[in-house]
Amino acid sequence: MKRKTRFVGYWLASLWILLQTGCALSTPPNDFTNQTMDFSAIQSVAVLPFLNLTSDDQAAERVRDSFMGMLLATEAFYVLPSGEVNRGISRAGLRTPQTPSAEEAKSISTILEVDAVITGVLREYGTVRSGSAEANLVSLSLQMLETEKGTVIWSASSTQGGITMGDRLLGSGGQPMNKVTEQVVNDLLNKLFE
Amino acid sequence: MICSTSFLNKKTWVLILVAFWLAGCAPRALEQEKPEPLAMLGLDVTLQGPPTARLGSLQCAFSTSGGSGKVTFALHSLKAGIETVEFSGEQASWSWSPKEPGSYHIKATATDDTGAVIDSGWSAEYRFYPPVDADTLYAVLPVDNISAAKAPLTEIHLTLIKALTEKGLSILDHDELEAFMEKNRMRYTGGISAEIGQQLKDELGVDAVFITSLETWQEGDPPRVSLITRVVLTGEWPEILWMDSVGLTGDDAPGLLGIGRIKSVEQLLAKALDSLLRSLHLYRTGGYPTYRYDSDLQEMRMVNDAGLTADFFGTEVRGRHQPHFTYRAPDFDPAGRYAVAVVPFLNVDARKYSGEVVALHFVKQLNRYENLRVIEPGLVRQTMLDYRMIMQAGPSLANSDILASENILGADLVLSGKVFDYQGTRGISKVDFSVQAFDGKKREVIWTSRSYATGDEGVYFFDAGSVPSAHGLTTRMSRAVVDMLEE
Repeated sequence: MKRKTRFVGYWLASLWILLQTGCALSTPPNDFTNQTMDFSAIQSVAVLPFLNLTSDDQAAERVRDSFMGMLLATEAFYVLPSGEVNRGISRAGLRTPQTPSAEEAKSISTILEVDAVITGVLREYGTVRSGSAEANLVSLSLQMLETEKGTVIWSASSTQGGITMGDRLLGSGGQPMNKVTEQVVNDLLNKLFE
Repeated sequence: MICSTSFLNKKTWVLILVAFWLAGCAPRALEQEKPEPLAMLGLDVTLQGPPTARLGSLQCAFSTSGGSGKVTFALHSLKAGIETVEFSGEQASWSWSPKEPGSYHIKATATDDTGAVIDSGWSAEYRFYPPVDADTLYAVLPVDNISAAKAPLTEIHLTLIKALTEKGLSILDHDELEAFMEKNRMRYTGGISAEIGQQLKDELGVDAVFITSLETWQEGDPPRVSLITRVVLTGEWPEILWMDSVGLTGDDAPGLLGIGRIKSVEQLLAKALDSLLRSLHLYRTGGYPTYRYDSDLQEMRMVNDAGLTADFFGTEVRGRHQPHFTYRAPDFDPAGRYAVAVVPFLNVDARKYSGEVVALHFVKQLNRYENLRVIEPGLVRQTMLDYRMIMQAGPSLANSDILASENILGADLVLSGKVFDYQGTRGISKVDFSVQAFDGKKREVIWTSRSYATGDEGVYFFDAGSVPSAHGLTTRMSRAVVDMLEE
């Protein structure tokens, strides 16, 4: 009897180790924060138009608007209005403001008098289907560039939404797209300020 | 003699005498520096111009005596039991013109450096009437179609004129107005510029103009009608006097077995016009609800809360219509007096003219605050055309500078935004927009918010609580935003 109990104990310990190993492997290693950068020195930022890799033409503008508003609402930075950013893009003559070079980032930050520039790539924005279940999914990655050298000082990505166990079992259509967008932005803001 | 001279020569005695003399002077000098207590000698109030809101004004001059150091003054007004500070500063005379009609009492307070406060006591009652009365001549501009659909605009225009005439209003002859529009090449009927406002006054003797925008027009099943109407004072500087809107669908109140359904769009239009005219009557009789800042409670309070507007202003805004996130600059004073320019919203992915529709809803909501003077959208549009302001991504600081310039529009706040969704003709209504407000003087964003909602949110049983029209949703959502901005 005693031998049987010890046997179960070994099995439980082995399962626990396997579980822990599995969790460790699933952690995304793709976020970056420059540890030498003093983020408190950044008072104002310009959010450039996001690169849109989705089929929805206006999706990037929708997500950018949410991000700009939510970033301003944190009161950590002053976020330049999009009209002013657009004026800066025109004055700097950026052909592809979604993917600025280091020189272009420096140039636009000088024109707009900001301490940092944020660029983004919208990778997913739409509905995913699996069997009879469907749900909204948003995937966004962001980069923050400092203005002296135009180097990346912070980078993170987030994917939210998608089909959950509840969606599969109950057949619900997931959360509205705006809600999922807010979750993505919140997740990225948490990563920025952690 | 020698004795007395030697006595005077003794330095010690001279010093003692000087010390006594100084000691005697010192208390007297201190007594002279002690100020008299602050006292209010009087508050002179003189009415200038007619006793009508916006056109007439009260010239208030205060005189005080005494007080320590710098004395600052404040002019208070009392209306419907709500006291608010209209002006404050070192100036001892103010000219104050009430925005809304009503009975006002005036009081001045003075404060010195020691914190001593005195007041003049409330003045006698000054009654200000609406700038429009039984003798006012109105021009009814042709309906501006922002419904993105074909609509019988002439019929709607004539129905509106007929309804106004039946209510006893003096309306300028339609042919005369058409001749004026042709002569002055006036094509835009969604607002009036300063030039047109002056010409209407000088050439035709028109005192006020009805400007009507058709937001929704659908003749199918169910029919839908949404109208936004305002009355604008003509003259050198056109001002919005009254503004309201109505949005109806045939399915608003189906009742038992659908008996209450309205299937005719003409019937719906008549109902909509009736609601608007009831609201206008409220304004003309001084009972239109407005918001006034209560300086004691430090919050906005409603005046004439019993009056029901066409868009049911004053009813509770539910949580689902509140903005999903907001930012208000910490140094923004909601009680301040501001001139607000509302710029047409940028239409990102919504139906045609939705940017104009949402902007008009904000003009309507902001105009109900007594501390805000909303600039007539026609003036804003004319300025944007004159300065060739093209805003591909909303206003820039340079655009805001033009609108804020004292020589141009003098807007303290510039409100703009983006519309991402505006669906109200088929299926479930859906509205999604963001709002941004600049402080024109500080060149800073003072407000940002994002609002989105659908008409069926929170609806579980028999459509109870559903909002079938996009107009209804926009009204609720815009009101929630303005409430939060001004709270």
